[in-house]
Amino acid sequence: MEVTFWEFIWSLLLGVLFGIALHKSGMTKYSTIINVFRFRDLAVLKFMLATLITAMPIIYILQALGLLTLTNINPTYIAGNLVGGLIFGVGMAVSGYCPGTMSGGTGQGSIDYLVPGLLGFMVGAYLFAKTYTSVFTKISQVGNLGPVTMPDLFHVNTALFIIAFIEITLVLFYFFEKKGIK
Amino acid sequence: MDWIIEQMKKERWSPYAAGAFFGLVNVLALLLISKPLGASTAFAKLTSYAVKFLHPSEMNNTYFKFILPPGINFTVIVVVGVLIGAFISAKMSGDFRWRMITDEQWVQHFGPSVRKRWIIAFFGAILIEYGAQMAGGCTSGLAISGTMQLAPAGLIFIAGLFAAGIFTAFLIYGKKY
Repeated sequence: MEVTFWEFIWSLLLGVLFGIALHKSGMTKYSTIINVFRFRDLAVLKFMLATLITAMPIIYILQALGLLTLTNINPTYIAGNLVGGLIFGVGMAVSGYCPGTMSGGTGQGSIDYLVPGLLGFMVGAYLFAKTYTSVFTKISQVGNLGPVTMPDLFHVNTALFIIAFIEITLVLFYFFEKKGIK
Repeated sequence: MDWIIEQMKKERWSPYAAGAFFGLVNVLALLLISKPLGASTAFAKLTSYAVKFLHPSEMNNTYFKFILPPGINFTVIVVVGVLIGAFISAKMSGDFRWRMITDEQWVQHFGPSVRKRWIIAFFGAILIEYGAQMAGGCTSGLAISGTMQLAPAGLIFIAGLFAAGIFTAFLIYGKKY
């Protein structure tokens, strides 16, 4: 165990809320996932953007008030982030799941999430480990910027960046609803 | 409380509402455990465990030995929580069923063969975990956790994910795209 008692309790609770959000938003269904890539049902995109525009300003405000310090900003290494995303996208379109929804799908009783999903993830992780030095250590050096943020990188004000992100997203949402885009 | 039960009995929430709710959960993670949520690492951790028991000699691998040694870290517990949360949600809304193929759309397009669904999903899952490990996270741990912290990595990953997803869906569905 690498977690303390309270970390265990909180992680479990956060996971439960995470699972509820995934099931209630329909992310644990193959059709929801594949149809965003066919532009037939944008629930995935709407869900992700709504998550981001909720979390971004709260995180910013908590930081400004000194109540939160970000210690785990995801490192940017452009080639690896992009190629990893491309491989991930193919897998997602083929299977209709991702790591979180595989677990959520299992919770709704889907054996076709649990068995092939768990086995596939473990084989994928194993292959990654086997190719770690030959592939990852090389690709992660291409465009390696470390744990930077976009406002730092582009020298823009963080609050302005977040406001612009929220505004663009809201305009997009307004457009979706006005045109009746599912 | 009644309101919460009423919401839990609904099979679907609007994606906007579900997203806003999930945004709060992501912030809560930063406050409660000082770590952004994620899921893909959990499976790498479990793989590390499996390798340790089945093939101890392979533990000399740099990755298993130094980067992700076997263990139960918080993502494993989060993933178990996700399973429980989705179970509660499915049960309360009457959506829980044992299923060998989850989706009607799959059956319409690929036919009712369970073996076909499982084999295709298995290969998809390999790509998902490999890609997530390479990129540094999955839809949760990088696309959302990264982007909400304004890391360029998150948006680069989202761009790759959608580009490849759209292209793959186009190849799979062909004329029915």
